[in-house]
Amino acid sequence: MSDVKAFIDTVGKDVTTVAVPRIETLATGINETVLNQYGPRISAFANDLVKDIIKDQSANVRDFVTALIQELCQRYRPEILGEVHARLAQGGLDLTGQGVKLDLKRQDTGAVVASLDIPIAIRINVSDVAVTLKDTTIKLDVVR
Amino acid sequence: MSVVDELVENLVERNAVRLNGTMTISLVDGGLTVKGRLFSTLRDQKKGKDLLNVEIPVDAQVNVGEVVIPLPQIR
Repeated sequence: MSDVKAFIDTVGKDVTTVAVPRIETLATGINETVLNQYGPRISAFANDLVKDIIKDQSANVRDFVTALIQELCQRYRPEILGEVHARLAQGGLDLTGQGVKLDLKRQDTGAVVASLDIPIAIRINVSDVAVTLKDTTIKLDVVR
Repeated sequence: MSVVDELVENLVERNAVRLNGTMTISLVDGGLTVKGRLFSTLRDQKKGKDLLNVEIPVDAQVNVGEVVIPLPQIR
């Protein structure tokens, strides 16, 4: 059995010695061919395909979006309701929203489709203002 | 023209008030305050002489109510 094993090993080594360089050469050749010939062709094809898709479909997409926006604008009407209360507070100004909401209404029926409450609570800090009078002269004139 | 009229006229024409001082305006709850000190000098311009010095402390509060701002309509 050991003779058979040694025989197979010897044959294997010989085949490897001969075959591996050839396979490597083949692989390198295929690789170069793909890289230099097929690669640019695939790239050019993909480029042309994308250009064609954009060229053919951009008008459709634009028309669709324009029509959709027009239809939505004709169909719905936004309305803001409520009021903002401004109040002077210590060191600043407080702005508070009262019943502020954005209603989306149907143009034709006026029915509310959706309503969004908008909470407003804003604090604007105002620093002290120093006023300095320097030799401010007040003169009076007699009215004749 | 009465004597008083002439007196006032002369006083007004001859004199000027010069003001110096510093005031601080602060926002407080429900309004604003003005605090400071003014120094006023009455000067006779003809004689070039100060007639009267007045020191005026200022401590005032102005109450401002809540301001309601209705939101504008979208047209």
